[in-house]
Amino acid sequence: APPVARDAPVHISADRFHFDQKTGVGIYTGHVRVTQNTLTIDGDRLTVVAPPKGPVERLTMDGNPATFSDVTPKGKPVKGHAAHMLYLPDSRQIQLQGQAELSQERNTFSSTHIVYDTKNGVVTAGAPGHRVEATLVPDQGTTGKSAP
Amino acid sequence: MNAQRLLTGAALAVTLLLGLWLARHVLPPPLKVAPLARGTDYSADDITLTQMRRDGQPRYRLRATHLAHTLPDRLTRLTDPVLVVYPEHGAPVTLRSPSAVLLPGDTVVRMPERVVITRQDAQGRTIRVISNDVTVDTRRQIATSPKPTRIEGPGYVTRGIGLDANFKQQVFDLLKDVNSVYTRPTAQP
Repeated sequence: APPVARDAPVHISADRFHFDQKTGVGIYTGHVRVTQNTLTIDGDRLTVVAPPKGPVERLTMDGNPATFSDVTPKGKPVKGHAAHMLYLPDSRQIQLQGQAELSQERNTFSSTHIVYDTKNGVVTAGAPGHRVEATLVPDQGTTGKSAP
Repeated sequence: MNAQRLLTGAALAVTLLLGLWLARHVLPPPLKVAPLARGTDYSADDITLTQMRRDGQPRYRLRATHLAHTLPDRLTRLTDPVLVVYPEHGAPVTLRSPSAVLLPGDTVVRMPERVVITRQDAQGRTIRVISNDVTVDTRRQIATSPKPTRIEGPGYVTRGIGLDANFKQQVFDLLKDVNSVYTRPTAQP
């Protein structure tokens, strides 16, 4: 995947948009899609907080579930879903909350809380008092027996 | 004595008749001014019109380079209008367009094309809304449009179809087919 530009524009499409000038918060509803570089997040309702002088600060997506897909820096596909997703463009981190599941190739993680670092492709799963279920499938090469 | 009374009566009658005849024939006929039925009732140039609220505060201020009030539609057509709406809460809202029509009752303004709405928020951020066919109700402090609309704010541009703006609540809604682009605002020089 091309080097991910932290400053790449964030594109959003939706059915409706509501902007509250008092708080500076924008709310998108209906078939909401966020894209930035190779990252795509889909859901039903997106809340965007954009401070006056800075870039987009946080995007909060709710869905049934909300889903995301991306390509890791090594060019591998990664995707996930959760009831609630928080994307922080500055740190390029996606936080999946509520029945969260993430799969990277054939490895899958599920927990109530998963953090995916889109910059480095690192997955951090689990939260205090909540277990993590992970299924890691070794690559074909690592078993030592190559196919005939 | 009777003869004298008769003479006086006759003289009075003659005077009355003479007066009537004179009124009918010598004085110019009374000017019959029919009220204007159709056309420009009045017009003005470089006007500023301010409508006040009951509390004595301005509800809106309307400036225009030309104004013409026409009958029988009782519409007031404005050229290069600048409409400033003063909601009870928040900053005033300014609406500009090449032309506008003030509807009978003087509270609803229709702006047909190239309408630019601007407003600052508490942090001094200016939001610009560009649309067409905008109807402004200065009493309810709302503006609506069925047309494609663009909202420009610091670091983002949002497009959609249809506008619902409520100046009192300080909210703007785009009703359909919304697309936004957020970019990192470039550092000011």
